[in-house]
Amino acid sequence: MIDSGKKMLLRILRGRETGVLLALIVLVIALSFLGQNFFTTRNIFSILRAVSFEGIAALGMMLAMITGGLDLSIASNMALSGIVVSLLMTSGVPVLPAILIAILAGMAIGLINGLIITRIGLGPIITTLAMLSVVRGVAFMITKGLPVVNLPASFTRLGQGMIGGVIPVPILFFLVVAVLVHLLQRYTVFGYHLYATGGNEIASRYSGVQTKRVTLLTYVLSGALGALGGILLIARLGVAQPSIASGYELAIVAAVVIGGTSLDGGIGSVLGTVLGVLIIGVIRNGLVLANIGGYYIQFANGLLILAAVVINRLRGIRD
Amino acid sequence: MNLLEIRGLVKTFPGVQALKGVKLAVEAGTIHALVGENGAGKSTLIKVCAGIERRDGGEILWKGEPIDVRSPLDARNVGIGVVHQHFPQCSNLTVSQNIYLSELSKTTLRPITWRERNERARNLLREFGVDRRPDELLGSLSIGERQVVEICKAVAMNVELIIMDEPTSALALEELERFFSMIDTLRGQGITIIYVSHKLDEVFRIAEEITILRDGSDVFSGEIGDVTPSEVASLMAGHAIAEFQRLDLAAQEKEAPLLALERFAVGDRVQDAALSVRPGEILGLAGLQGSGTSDLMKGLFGLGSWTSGTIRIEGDEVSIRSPQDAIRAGIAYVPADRHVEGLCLIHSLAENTGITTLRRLASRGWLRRGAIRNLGEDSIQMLSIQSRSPWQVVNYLSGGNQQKVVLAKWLATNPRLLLLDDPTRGVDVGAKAEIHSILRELAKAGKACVMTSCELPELIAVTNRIITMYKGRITGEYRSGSVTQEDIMRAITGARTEDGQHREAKDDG
Repeated sequence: MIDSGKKMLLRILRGRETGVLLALIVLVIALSFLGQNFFTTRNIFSILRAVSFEGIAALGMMLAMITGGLDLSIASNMALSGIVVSLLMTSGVPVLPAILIAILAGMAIGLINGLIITRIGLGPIITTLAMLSVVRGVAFMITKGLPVVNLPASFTRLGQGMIGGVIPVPILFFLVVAVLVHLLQRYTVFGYHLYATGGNEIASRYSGVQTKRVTLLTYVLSGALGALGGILLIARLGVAQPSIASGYELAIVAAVVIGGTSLDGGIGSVLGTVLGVLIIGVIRNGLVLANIGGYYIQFANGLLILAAVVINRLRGIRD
Repeated sequence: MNLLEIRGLVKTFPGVQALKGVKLAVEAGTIHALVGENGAGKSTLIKVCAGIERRDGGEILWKGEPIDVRSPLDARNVGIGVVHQHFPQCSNLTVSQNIYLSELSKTTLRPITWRERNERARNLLREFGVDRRPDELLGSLSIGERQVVEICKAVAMNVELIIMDEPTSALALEELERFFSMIDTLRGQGITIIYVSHKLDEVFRIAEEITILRDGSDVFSGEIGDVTPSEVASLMAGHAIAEFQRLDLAAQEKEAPLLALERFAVGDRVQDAALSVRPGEILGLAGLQGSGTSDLMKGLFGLGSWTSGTIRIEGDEVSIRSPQDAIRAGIAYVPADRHVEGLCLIHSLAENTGITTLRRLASRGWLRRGAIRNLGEDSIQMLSIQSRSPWQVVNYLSGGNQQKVVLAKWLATNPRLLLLDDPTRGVDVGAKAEIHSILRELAKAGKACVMTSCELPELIAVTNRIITMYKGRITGEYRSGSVTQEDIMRAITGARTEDGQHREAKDDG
């Protein structure tokens, strides 16, 4: 009994997530010295809400990265889905169908990514990089660059509402999606195929796994999650601008890699990704609280990606 | 005089002491074999000599003087060249650019003249029996020719000692002879060679001295004439090795075939193949690289570009278009390269063994982790895999144990027919014998096996029957008990076919 407890402890200490968690704790402690503004319930929930949108998209990115790929079109997808849901609602479609259609639009983008990657055989980076521009372009084309306003209150509540006046609604969405993705990954045959495909595509195919279908489905899922994140983000802002979420893909990649997902595929967890997203959010919040200002955020994101990739490298060497 | 002498060499990696005070004395002008099972410390020893790893203790003497090899460049300046097992080369550069790559790394801004270098490269290649232009792209050469280039690289640097790490592992059978004559040429030039291998027939063919490593220590060192191959094998393994045992399964010949192929073709790689395998039989497919033996297996497993002809399993015609079809038909496929095609190296033993039978390990799409762990534990026990736990990452297992994991994942599907493409490639002597006995157990249990091997003696010893292939066609069929290596060699090199003789009737000897 003591022995298995000790083993468990060792396993937890060796786990990839542990380091991320420690980093987060250190960061939080460091930031709490910045002033009494950090450790307030309001600030904590506001950080959590701020990362929820990218967090949901990051879970999609993580799925794509576990197959050994990447979905750089995810932020453009967030914008387009937000535009689609807004345009539908302002032209009279009820909220729920509008959201479902927008998610389908996101899945369609994922399907295109997946088809190009699995049928034509292009690399995920170049495919989704091109789609980043294509999808963003569509968002600008259908809005002619203008923001979509006058969104119904029943919709904006999804982004702006509070449960019990304390917990912002988007956090709940993030939590539910995270749990669902975790269950999908760890406890289903599909989740297993996902890891196997990323671990060794050829060996998995030779073992009867339909790796192309797995990869295709993964990009569709990533599209759906990107769309959901985008829809909630628009609900939070109350206005749909085609330029929204520009550059988020880098922060999302950074979060996923910091969370321990291997750039080579086959390794990654929901817990790690959530922690990675929180680290990004806390740093961003710290920059604001310390009055360093928004101009430094991109710079910090870039450094974080580099740091994450170096950590990924070091992990590879240790393994 | 000793060209190279190593005394008390120690090297420790986190968790493992790879070298525990090894001594090695290599006399100038000799071919010195360094043998040992995988994990015995051969590779580490080479890496220390080549300046890739730093030693933790002991000394290295070169012509009696202590030296310190800190980098591959140091090694080269001393006069040590290394031909690695998986030699890294630039396939986008020409042959002579590759040969003079290290020389080029010294010139920085000076213009390079190729005419004279190309001429020298041409002569070098010719000397070693490769008829290729020095300005051809390296990528267009065969593996064997690339290896010659790698050796030319060392010779061009005027090294006195060449260390060759498993030099024949990547070579096709027909390239072996050229390789051995190249060794002779090097010997003629007075170059000293450390020949690292675990293929004892080669070692006894070319080496003059031998050092045997086991578990990071040298357990024997002396002249090759002082030991026999079976003594060397025992010293390598640390215990006596049973000789290949041959089972006569003549009784099985009366049974109906489990697999029967007619006019089977795979792309343009295999043509008009007809063969059958009975339950309880181990059929060997012998052929050179590109003869179609691997393609035939891939085609049977639904991995060929396209296939035609009929496949019958237990008399029923089946259509196999994908691995899923093949698995449903009760076929298992152990591919030739377990790292690339067989395993998810970063995942655990249990996860790797579970991959083929996930549907059974799940209920309504939800996996039962316990069932996967049980499968892993059963596999460890059944195939006596050396692994700490079912969740052990397979990357850390030895080659033999990794291969057993590949076998385990297929045994989980309870197959009727096993296709095994060189199942003992790169595994040590002990594991080889274990894999052989696993195959025999499977045959005894009524399964049919089809296997290839890059070592003909192994193929003859393990199988009941051998079918030879040459340029995509079946050229002969032999009873393993009454065939010689020379017969097979003739059939697979096309010597007999090109003599104008026709396919021999089955040798009922």
